[in-house]
Amino acid sequence: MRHEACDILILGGGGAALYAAIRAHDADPRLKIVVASKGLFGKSGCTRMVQGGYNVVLDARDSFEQHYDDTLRGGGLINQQELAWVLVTQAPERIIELENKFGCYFDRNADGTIHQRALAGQSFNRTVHRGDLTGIELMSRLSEQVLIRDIRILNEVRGVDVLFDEHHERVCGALLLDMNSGETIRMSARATLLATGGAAPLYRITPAALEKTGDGLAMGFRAGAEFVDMEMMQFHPTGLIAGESVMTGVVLEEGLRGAGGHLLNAQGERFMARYDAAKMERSTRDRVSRSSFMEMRAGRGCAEGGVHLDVRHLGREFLLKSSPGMYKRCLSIGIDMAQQPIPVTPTSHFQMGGMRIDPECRTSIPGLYAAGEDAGGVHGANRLGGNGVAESIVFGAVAGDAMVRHLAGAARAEPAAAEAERSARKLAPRDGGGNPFALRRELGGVAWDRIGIIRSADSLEQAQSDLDRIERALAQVPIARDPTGDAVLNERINVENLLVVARMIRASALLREESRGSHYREDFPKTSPEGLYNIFMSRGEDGAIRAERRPVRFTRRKPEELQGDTVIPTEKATATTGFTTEI
Amino acid sequence: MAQKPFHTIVLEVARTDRGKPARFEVPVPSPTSRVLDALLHVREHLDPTLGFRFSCRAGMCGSCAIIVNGREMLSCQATIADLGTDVVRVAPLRALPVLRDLVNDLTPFFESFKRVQGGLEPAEPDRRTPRTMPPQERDRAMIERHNGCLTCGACHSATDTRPGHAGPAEVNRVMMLALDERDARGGSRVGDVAADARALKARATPELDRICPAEIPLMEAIDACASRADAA
Repeated sequence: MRHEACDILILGGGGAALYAAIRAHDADPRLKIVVASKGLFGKSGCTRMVQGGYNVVLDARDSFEQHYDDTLRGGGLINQQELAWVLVTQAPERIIELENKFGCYFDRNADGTIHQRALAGQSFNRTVHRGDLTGIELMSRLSEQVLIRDIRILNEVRGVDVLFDEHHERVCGALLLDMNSGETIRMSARATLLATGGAAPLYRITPAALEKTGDGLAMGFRAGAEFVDMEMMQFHPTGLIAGESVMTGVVLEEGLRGAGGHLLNAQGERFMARYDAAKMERSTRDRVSRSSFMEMRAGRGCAEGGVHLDVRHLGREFLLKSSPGMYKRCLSIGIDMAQQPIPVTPTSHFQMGGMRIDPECRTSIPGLYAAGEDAGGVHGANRLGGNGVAESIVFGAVAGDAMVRHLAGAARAEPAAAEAERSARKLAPRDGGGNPFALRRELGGVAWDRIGIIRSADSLEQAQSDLDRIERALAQVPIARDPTGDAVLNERINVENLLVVARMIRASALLREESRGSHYREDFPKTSPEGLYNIFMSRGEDGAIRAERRPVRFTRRKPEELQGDTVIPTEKATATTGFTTEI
Repeated sequence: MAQKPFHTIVLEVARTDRGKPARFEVPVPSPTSRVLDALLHVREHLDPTLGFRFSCRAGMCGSCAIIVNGREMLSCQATIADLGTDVVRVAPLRALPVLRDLVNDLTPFFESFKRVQGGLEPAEPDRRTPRTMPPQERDRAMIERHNGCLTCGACHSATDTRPGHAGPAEVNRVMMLALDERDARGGSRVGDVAADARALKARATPELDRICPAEIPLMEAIDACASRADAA
């Protein structure tokens, strides 16, 4: 085990992680900042995969209040209101910084002003974007900015556990694993940020990068951090079905639906008429995903295993202009969307729940910060398209600034050696049998069937024994003596972390006996007026989950002020103004 | 695509720790199956020690560039049925060091970006309002055409760019920055890559533009930097 020290340790390689690193560096360039990324920095994670764009109030006719209310309504009114306010009010400064300081270029109107479009659940055209592949622009520019600064990058180095000081009072670093060499690093840090992303790939079908296995969430849980809203997982309705190929599950942006695409079942019916006759395909992600799932379950799915997204009537010219990236994506699997319906399936997309943070990204543990999908509460029960990347950027910046500000009170402490040794022991060689890749596949199926789009007391009960079985099998998986580039070891850790997240989702879903946002209980299908609470949980002394409901704190808006549906701008679907609901 | 789906292929993989390539018989379950699917199959069922890299699996991150049957490709986008052969030979990118099997060390590539300062140096870092930048202006249109690099390293491999030199990706980025009205250094940046651009111009072929997974006209950027440098 190697020992190293830094001032700020950032785990993660996506938008929140890199933004935090840049802001922290610029606040005090003398600081020693380390970014440890499980994949290649700036390439791993999901900010890069953002399609639709970034929600921000820039137009004088729009307002913070409107963006805020849309966000709370979209979130089923259970958002952490102070966090959502940070999101809305700091989004403009960040988008301007991205453009003027970091070199992003966003799509323009003909007069040279920034183009904004509306995504589902928004009352104004407020999504800044670059075509239908916005994330590449964001991450390319942020990666460059990291490269030209004095920030240390550890590529393909993952966190294993956060580490406490000898009094177990404060997080003061983490145990890291170099995935190429197999070497462990005890990294001491005066502040530690978890920004590794959520656990959407827990589920069998997902658009997310597969290396995202809720590592930060699992590390936080093991450390005793408090979590919120873990029952809330967002499924995106239009994941591509591409046969037995890694492309299956990747998202087709909702611009296609927003612009007037139809969803059809095997009988060719626009089935959304049965579930949301008013909004049809333009309904929110949670409803459309659930509706598709119900059609599939009722045996009305298409031969490929999902439903059909039909955009043929929009015409090739429009499609090429408004969604060139998606057009190309479909062509690459042999589908010309101007001529053929596209087979699509709901796909596990985004984790709304996560560690409880304050408006400075501090978790419940001193010294430990969280941002992006590692943190919970900003989006409540359902995230609006365009608010996800805004969250990563805004809270990445908040975390970077806050860590520097609070360093003054954080004398260097060494992580307790015994604790690092204990954490490292789970990487020690051992004999056994079993295949962690197969176990991950099995876990994906269990999550999909039992704690996925539709849940019930029965399915959650069954999930418990399924998760126990997988955990027992995982414990048997051997660890090789030579850990150099050991994919088995890494998949073993991945499944271990995914199991931690799955158990939190299960426990939280069991406690919410109603349906709200992305959480749907077949045995409690209605949204209850009594449901305005959040579920908080953490690991008890015995290792078991302690969970409790606490009423939502309506610090800025009362539920009665948020009655009614968001009025979606109904613009003519043109190449520049069709609404979409993509991150 | 998918004119001729094969039931199985032979996947030949260059391994760093063995003298000769390893051969695996791998099923191709769908006409859409990618080379990455074959690599994942090997890892899960045949040999978990095989080293390769990927992340987004949708052609957006540029993590998985390798050589497939002699040509640089993203393994997540390379459809096996399109290769037109049932022997698929995969190897790491050329010109960049190899960490293990198909995994290149991209450090020299990133270092080169750093050396040419391939990121905006803002002329107005504290400006509080968005600029008006009409998309049809000549320089902006040119920048747009050259944007979208995935920093996958394929162009370094295709042009045999050795560590210590700027490759097509960095020349392209510097050209974009040189044209960007927001950049403090602007046109003076071209000098930083002039020598490397001229060297690239001498040895790159138009095939380079077809290799770039982001379809960036790299030859145009190389030409622009080489000739601007000539004029200066």
